[in-house]
Amino acid sequence: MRKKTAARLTIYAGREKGRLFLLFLCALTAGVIDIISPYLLGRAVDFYLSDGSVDFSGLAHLLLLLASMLALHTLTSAAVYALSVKTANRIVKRIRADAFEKLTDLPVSYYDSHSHGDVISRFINDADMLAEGLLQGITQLFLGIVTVAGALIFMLRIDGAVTLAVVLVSLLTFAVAASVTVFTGKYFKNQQRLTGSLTGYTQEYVAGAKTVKAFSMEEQVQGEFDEISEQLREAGQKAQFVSSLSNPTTRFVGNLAYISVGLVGGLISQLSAGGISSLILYAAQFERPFNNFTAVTTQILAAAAAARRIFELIDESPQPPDLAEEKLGQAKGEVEFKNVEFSYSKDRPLIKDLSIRVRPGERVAVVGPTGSGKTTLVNLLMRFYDTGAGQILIDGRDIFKCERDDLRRQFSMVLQDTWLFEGTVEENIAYGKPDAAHEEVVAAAKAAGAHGFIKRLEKGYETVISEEGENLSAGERQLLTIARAMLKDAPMLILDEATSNVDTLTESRISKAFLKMMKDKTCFVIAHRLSTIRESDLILIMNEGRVVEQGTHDELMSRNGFYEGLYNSQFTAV
Amino acid sequence: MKYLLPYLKPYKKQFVAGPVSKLIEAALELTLPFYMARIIDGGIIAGDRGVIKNTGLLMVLIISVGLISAVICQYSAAVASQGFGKRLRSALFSRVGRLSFARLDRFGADTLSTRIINDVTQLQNAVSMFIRLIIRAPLICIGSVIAAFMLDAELALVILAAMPLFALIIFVIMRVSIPLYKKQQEKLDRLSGILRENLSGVRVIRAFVKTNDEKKRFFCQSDEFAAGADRVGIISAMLSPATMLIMNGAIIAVIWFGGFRFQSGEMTQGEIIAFINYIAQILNVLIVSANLIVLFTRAHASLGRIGEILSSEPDLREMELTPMRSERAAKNAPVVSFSGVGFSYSGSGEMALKDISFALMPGESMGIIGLTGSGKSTLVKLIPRFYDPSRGRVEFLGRDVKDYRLSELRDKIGVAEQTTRLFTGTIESNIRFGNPGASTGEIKKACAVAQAAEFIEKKREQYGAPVERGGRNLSGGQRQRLAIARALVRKPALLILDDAGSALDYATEAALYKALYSEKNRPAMIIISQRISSVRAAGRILVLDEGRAAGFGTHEELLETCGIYKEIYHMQNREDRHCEKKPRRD
Repeated sequence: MRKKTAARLTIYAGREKGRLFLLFLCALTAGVIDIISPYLLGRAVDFYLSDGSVDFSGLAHLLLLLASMLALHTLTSAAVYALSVKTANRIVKRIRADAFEKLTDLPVSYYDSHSHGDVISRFINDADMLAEGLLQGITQLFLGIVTVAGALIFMLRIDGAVTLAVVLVSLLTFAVAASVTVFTGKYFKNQQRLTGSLTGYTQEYVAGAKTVKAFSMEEQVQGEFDEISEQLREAGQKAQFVSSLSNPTTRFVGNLAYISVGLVGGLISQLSAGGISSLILYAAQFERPFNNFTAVTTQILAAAAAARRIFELIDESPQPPDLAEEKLGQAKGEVEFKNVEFSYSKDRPLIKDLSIRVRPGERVAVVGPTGSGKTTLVNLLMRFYDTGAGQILIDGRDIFKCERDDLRRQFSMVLQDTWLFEGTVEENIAYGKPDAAHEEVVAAAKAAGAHGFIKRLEKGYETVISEEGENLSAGERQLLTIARAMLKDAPMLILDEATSNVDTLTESRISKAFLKMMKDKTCFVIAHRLSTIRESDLILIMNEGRVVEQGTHDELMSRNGFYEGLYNSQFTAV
Repeated sequence: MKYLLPYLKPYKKQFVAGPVSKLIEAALELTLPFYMARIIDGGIIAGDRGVIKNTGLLMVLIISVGLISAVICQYSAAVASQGFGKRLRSALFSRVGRLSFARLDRFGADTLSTRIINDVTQLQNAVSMFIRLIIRAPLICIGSVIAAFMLDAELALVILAAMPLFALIIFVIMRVSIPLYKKQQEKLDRLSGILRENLSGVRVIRAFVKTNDEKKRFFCQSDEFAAGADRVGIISAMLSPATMLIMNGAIIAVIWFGGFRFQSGEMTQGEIIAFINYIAQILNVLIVSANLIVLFTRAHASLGRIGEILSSEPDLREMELTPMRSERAAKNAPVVSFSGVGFSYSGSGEMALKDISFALMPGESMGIIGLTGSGKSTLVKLIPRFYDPSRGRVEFLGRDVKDYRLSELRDKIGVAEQTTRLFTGTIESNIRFGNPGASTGEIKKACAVAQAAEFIEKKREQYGAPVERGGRNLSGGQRQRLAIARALVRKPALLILDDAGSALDYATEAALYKALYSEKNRPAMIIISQRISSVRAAGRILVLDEGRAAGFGTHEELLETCGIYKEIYHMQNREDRHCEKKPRRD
């Protein structure tokens, strides 16, 4: 599992080959200078002659050389840092893009069944964590490799046995670090998971803060928050502590190596004092990268856990690919449901053997008690969900064989859920037709009865709708979604409780516009208020996932069935 | 910074133990070269293997003690930083809960949750680093400078000259990067905003075939974020090489000027080498500090964002005093009374409510009707003090609402709104939200009155059936009925139904009102609706028009006297009569 994450990260890193190569060259240069400069410094001091005088001209030459090398060192190490930053950010940007790409290709059921806060946390918190870890990892890795290699070469030139001791001890270091890694993996996973659920909780309850207040439930909500937060603290403390042990442990092992230089050098190799002091210097240099690397293990392990969570999203199975065997073009608007079956969860069938036929230009009303499956029809028609069995045909073509976008272009729709995005009023109305002229937008707004209140907004059509449209009332937001649908001229129309948030006076004022909009189009009108649907060509009465009655208003009234009961109930005095 | 002290205070012990044990480790480590010198001088050169062995063992002992100290330090850091993070999160979450509506709207849920989670993590990291590194670095630095001065004061001037340069570089880099980090966090907020919109609006986005545009929007913001991250990351990363440049320059200067000191016989070769070693040591420490500074710079941006929340005062001041005692809620006092109430949302000067007066007695109910935007919802928001009136007085059970503790006041009021917020959990947990102490019987009763029992009992898990985020897995009508049950289970003195039945079909709505009105000991009710049939039975009806009371009376009275009411009635009534007459006259 961990290997898989590492391997996938390597693939992403592989796409930065050029940059990584440059990074390696710079690190190599900086590393070589790092190793030579102590030697040159020693040479410089040799210009202090034993007679107490100084060879200033020789010294000047050497110092000039040293200065230019150190300047080069500054440049190359600066480049190493800069390139590491860029590479890490590039990799994360690619991963984030792939994750978003996947998100847009997931079936709607994923959106309906996953905590949005948790998904956002993967894109924000986890990606951030990954970037930090990658940056530290890349910098230390490249600077480290060169130093380790260089120090090794210099040590070997002095004494084989001591070098062997140092290397063996370092391998031990590595084993220690690796075991810590294995040990802490689950803690980090736990920490990231809890961060995700805390984000989800926070999102939900911050957005619902008004409800919490209305019920003065602040204390209980705070209690639940604190509970998850405490779990996170516990997990975080474990993860942080255990992973941070690797640094002192490697330092301990490094010191062991240092001591073993003295012991092995003195007892076995019987080196000279000078030899030992040089070896000590290089052994320290050899150990430093290990020490640096383990200093950032916490970040690197957190990054690995974060990467896993993002890859988890990327690995979700997408909606079935578009077949594009049929093309709808500009549909006439004949719609047929043939023996359609559907359920949201396997054990509870919702729609059973549903068959209806709608001729082009007809207006179909779907009525029924709440929860009877009316909105599910829209989900199926728009292919937000796919049917379990049976077929839906438009102009005789199976919609399963059409491209989803092609299918969805056939419909204009207004939903009960009044989703708007953060942008100006004008941009929101022109959502389905971004190139619409201002006059068209205003005309649509007027037809939808929205022009009046838009004009009263601080900046009119340029007013920015805040997050979730909190500065507009539900009714006003719905009028905007109606204007939005009016501007998108599609052959068919879906109105799913389109006026549920609007008062009856306003509703009757915009009904004219609705009628104009519905003219010559196949329309599906879902409503629970029966007054709006009386003139429909076909009324479908749904109950428990089945069409229990269908016909025109008069036919249904004379049948004295379910519809008649539903219809008369609205006039019963309360 | 002062905001954070209360959350750091409980960890005094760790703030002492951590750095001290780190210091012990560092000090022990510094003795190693001394013992190594003994191995070389006393062991290798003198050829005494015993000295080598014994000294070696002593050194192993020393580093073992060092390891233990280091572990103590890391543990202190983990405990203090994670504990601090938890306390801070808790405080932030609770403060967010107390923000006024206006402020909540201004901040927005996205940035608030990013701050509570992400920004706290940044500060938490900073605290951990602080404990682990803060003492060691300056001590080694100061120690080395002192040692250098003792070696040769004149040559040490080179180090003194390097210090202001170092300070300048830190200053410049921080000056440039702090605002950039702040901008980065804002970009992150925008990115998370786009994500949230894409998650909540997936149906509309796909229906309008806008997926590709949304991708472009996301990638564009993601590019911008990455570009910003590059810029600020690179600027911060330059601190390390710049420090090296300065210190390497100092080393070269020392060798050059040292030459003169050597020639004049004031320094020996060995002393100059030692001098260089001290500079190297300072260099190492400074590089570590540089990394620390980068981290703190980042944390500084988070600190500002968190401070913004912690420093924003709740707009409504709660009664500090315990409320006047033994107030036998006067039997004949109205449940709610408005006298001359006017209200304007801060900012816009326009009055949302103008001169509203009425009184509602126990057991009574009243309807409020009016067009979208006429101030219906605003009016009822003044009762549980979501807002305070700009003019006039709102009384609840005979007392000014401002004389209550907020929780005491709100506990007596049940509200169900048109757009309902349900929370992830079960049906039962959502209803219990209205009254955590409710018995199962009470919950079932409330659901029965709210007409929710039927659909709940059809579910396999019944009251334990899961409710997904925001009640997504329920229909609008089901959500509204749960919200009404949630309000009812509180056994409130006042029940406010703010268009709470708008998604119900007529039959269900009629049954709901029938059940509500036939309750014994029913609460006083305020029913807001756009449908005359819903408010007609409430007795008196308040008609609002652009914030003004356009009429107040029974249905029959209003038909006589109130123009707007008549208009609404005829419009709805005309529709009613449509059943005889098929073609629509529009």
